[in-house]
Amino acid sequence: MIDLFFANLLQLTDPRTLSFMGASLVFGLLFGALPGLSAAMAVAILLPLTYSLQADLGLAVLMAAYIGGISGGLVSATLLCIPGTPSSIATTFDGYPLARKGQPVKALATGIVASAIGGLFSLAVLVSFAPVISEIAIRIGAHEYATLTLAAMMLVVILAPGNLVKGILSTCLGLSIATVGFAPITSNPRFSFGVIDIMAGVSIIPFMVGLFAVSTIISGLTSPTIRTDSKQVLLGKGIGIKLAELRDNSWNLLRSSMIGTGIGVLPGIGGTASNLIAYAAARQQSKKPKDFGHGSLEGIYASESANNASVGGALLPLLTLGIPGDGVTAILIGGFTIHGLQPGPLLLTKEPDLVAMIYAAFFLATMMLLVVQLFSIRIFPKVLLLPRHLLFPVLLVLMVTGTYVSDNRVFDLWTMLGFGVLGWALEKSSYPLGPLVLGFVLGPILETNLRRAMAYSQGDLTDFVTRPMSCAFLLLAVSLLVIGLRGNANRSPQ
Amino acid sequence: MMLKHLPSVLFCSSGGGMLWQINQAPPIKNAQIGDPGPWLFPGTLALTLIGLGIVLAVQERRNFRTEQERPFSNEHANTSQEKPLPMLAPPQLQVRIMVLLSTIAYVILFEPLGFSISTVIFLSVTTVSLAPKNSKTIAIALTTSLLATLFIGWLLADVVNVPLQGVFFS
Repeated sequence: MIDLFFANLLQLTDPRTLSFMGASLVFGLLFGALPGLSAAMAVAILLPLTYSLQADLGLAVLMAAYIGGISGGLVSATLLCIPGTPSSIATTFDGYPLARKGQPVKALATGIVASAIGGLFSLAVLVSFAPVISEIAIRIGAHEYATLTLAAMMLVVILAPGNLVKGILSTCLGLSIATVGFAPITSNPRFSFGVIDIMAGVSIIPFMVGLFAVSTIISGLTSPTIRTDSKQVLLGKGIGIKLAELRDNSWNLLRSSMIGTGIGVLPGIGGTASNLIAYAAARQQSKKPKDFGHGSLEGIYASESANNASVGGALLPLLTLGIPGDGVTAILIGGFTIHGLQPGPLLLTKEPDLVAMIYAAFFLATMMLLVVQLFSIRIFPKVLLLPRHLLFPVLLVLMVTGTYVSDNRVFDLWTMLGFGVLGWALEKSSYPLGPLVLGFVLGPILETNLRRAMAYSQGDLTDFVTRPMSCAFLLLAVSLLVIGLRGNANRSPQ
Repeated sequence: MMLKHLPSVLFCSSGGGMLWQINQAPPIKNAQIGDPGPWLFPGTLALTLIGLGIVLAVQERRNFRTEQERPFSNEHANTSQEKPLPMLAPPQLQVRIMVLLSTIAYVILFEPLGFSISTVIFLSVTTVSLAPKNSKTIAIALTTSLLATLFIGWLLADVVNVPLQGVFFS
C-alpha cells in the first residue's frame, strides 16, 4: 500500500491534476468560509461535474473540495465570529477574541496549521486501520451487514437534533425514496408508475444536489442571511506563529486530533461535535483555563485540529464498510457510484490502487490547503465580500448544468428542483436532513442484505439473534433506540 | 394548527399510497425460499410512515394545547446584552417570484436553446432582479452574467470535457 501511495502521489503531481485539485480546494474553501454555504454543498455541486473525468481524478477533486470546505469555516469564525460551517463553532470562542486583540493573522495561521496537523493525523489513522477493518468486514455475512447498517442508522437518528420521531420519519422517507425503481435481487419494478425515467430509480446526483445545494439557495432567498462584509484589515508581515507555541501544544494537538478522528468515525456526528468536544477537553486539561474565550491559542489548536481530523475518521467507515460517516461522505458515495465503484469491504482488495489514490489525494489536498491558505492569508478573507446576488445565480447555473450533464436528461433537473423544495421544507419544519440522506444511501444495502440473510436462513429470523456479531449489532441498534426514546421523553415535558 | 398537521398528513398519505401500490403488485414467482420478496421492506416502511405520522400528529396536538394553556412568563425572555448578528433581509416577494420563474424557464429552455444562450439570459434576469437597483450594480450584474457564462462554458466544455450543447467559442 505504501508503494501504491507514493506512486499515486507522484501521479497526482501532474500539472493538470494539481490545477483541478487546487481549483476545487479553493471552491471548497469558499463554500466553507461563506456562512450558509457548506462543504456538503460544494461537494454536491462538483459531484456531477466529475462525471466526465477519470474515476481517480474525479475522486481527488471531490476530496479536495471536502477538505477545503471543512477548513474554510475558520475564516469567518475568526474574522466575523460567525462559523462558516458548524465544524468551526468552537473556533469563534478564541479565534475571534484573538483577532479583536489585533492578531487576526496569527489567529488564522494557528487555525490553518492546526487543520493541517489534524488532517494528517487522521490520514495516518485511516491508512493504518482501514485494512484491519476491511479484513474483518469481508468475513461478516449478510445477517451482520444488515444489523450493522440498522445500528448505524439508529445512531444517526438519535444524534440528529430535535424530535426523535422526526428523525425516524426522515430516515424512513430516505429509505422509501431508495425503494423506487428495480428491487434488489429479483429486479421487480417498484413505485415507478410506468414512468420510464424513474424505472431505474431516483438518481443520486439530482437527489444530493437538490437536497444540499438547491435547498440552501431557496433558504438564502427566503430567510434573512448573515451580513459578511468584514472591514478588518490584515496588514503586517509574517504569520506570527512561533515553533515554541507549536511544541507547547503538541499534546493538545494530538489529543484533539484523536478526538476528531474518533468522533468522525461514528456515523452522523462528524466535525460539528468533534470541535466542541476537543475544545472542552483542551479547556479542562489546560494550565490556563481562564484564557479560554479570550483568545487562547490552545482553544484554536483544539477546535481546528479536531474538525479536520474528523475527515479521515468519516472516510474510515465509508471505505471499509460502505457506510458514510457524515453528509459529505454520503455525497462522496455518489462519486464512487457514477464511476461504477462500490465503497465497502471489497474496495480495498479489488481496487487497492484507487484506495491508495484517495489516500494520496487526501495528503496532497491537506498540504495544498496549508500552502494556499498561508500564502493567501491576507487575500482570501476578501471572499466574504462576495455579493449574494451574483453568487446565487452562478451557483444555480452550476447545479443545473452539472445535473443535466450527468445523464443528459431534463427530467433530472425537475427531480433536482423537487428535492430542493423538499429539503428546504423539511429543514424549515425541523426535520433533520442527515438521516434522510443516510436512509437513501443505506436503504439498498440494508434491503439487499436483509433479503439475502433471510434467504440463507430459509426465512428463519432467529439467525439474527443466534449469530453473535449480528446479535451484538442488533442489541446496539435497540439500545440506541431506547436511549433516543428516553432522551426524547425527557425533552418533551420541557 | 392545520399547517402543523400537514407533514403528518403527507407522511400518512405517502405510506397509504405505498401500501396501495404494494396491494396492486403482481405475485412474485422467482423468489428464493425464505426470501421475503421485494414488497416486505417497502411495506414495513409504509406502515412505519403511517404509524409515526399519527404519533407526530398526536405530539403536535399535545404541544399546541400545552402552549395555549401555559401562562405567559418572561422568565426566559432574552435579557442578554450581546450584540445581535448583522443580518441581510431576504429579497422582496416579487423578486423571489422572478427568480423562481426564471429558474423554471431556464430548465425548460436549457436543451432547446443550448447552454450559452439560456445561461446568459438566466443570469442576466436573476442577477439584475436580485441586485440593488442602481445603474452601477445593474451594469456589473450584466457584465458578470456574460463573463460567467463564457467562463463556465469554457471550463465545462474545454477543461472538464463535459458533453454540453450550444457552448459559445467551444
